[in-house]
Amino acid sequence: MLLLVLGFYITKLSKHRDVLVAINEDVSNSIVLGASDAPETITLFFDYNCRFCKNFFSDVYPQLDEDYIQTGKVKLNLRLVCSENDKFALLAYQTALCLYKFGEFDKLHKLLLHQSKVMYTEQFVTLVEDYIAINEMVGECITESNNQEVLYNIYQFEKLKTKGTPTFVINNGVIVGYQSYESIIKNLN
Amino acid sequence: MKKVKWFICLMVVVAMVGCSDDDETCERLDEDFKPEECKSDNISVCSDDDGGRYFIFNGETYDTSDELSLACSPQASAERLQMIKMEFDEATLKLFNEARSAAICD
Repeated sequence: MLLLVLGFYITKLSKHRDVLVAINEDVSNSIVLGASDAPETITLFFDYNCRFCKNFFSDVYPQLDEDYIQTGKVKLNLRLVCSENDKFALLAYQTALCLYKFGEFDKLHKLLLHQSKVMYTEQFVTLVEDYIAINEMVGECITESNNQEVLYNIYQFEKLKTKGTPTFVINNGVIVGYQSYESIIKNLN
Repeated sequence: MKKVKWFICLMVVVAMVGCSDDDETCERLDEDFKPEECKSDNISVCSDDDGGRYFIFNGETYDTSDELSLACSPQASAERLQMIKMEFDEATLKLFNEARSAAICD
């Protein structure tokens, strides 16, 4: 009986580990910051509307970037997530993903970090329409994806069964909530 | 001869006034950057000699985006006023402008 229970938990743990490995390796829906062949990966489930997520970018990311990302040791896989029912956020995050692939993600990233609520304004919808009109590939990516890439991020995020964003996946472990630079490095090592 | 000197002085004064006016720059907001409530109004964002910002809304000057938001939509709820204020926020406008070029290929 004891062996049966043990076997059940080992299988469960192994499945969970497989999910985390898949999350860290899957970059098709990620915005990858850093060298794609960096030996270590940090996956960050991130929502621009979450204050602690933004704090990560203002307080932790600059040093992490300087010490680990720019030096090619680590890459940060940014997985944008939001509520499935928030059609404005879905559009904004799909747009960010498309700009990462075919344009300049950094410019939209700066705007959303500064003031995420712009995604609910008419100006933002016009901005997205401009992207679609200006760049054919960005346009196709936004209109044809039907936000599926962000929805897939949400699906994977829900699999982790965590309480919210930011959520980090480092070394096949899940860390929920804002983390200091020291804490992230500790988990990396 | 006196008239010529007087004319030259006048030109110098005009030129100086012109230069001092150049330090104050105003940019009329594009329709895309205006909230729904005041899309048809004339709104400019100006910077003064000291680098400070102020707004001109249909000829009236407003010092802050709070005042401008209220002028744009006096009946708006507090929540909506916050949104309008955010739309007029100087840094947001600047970043919005920069973000416009994000889809332009080199």
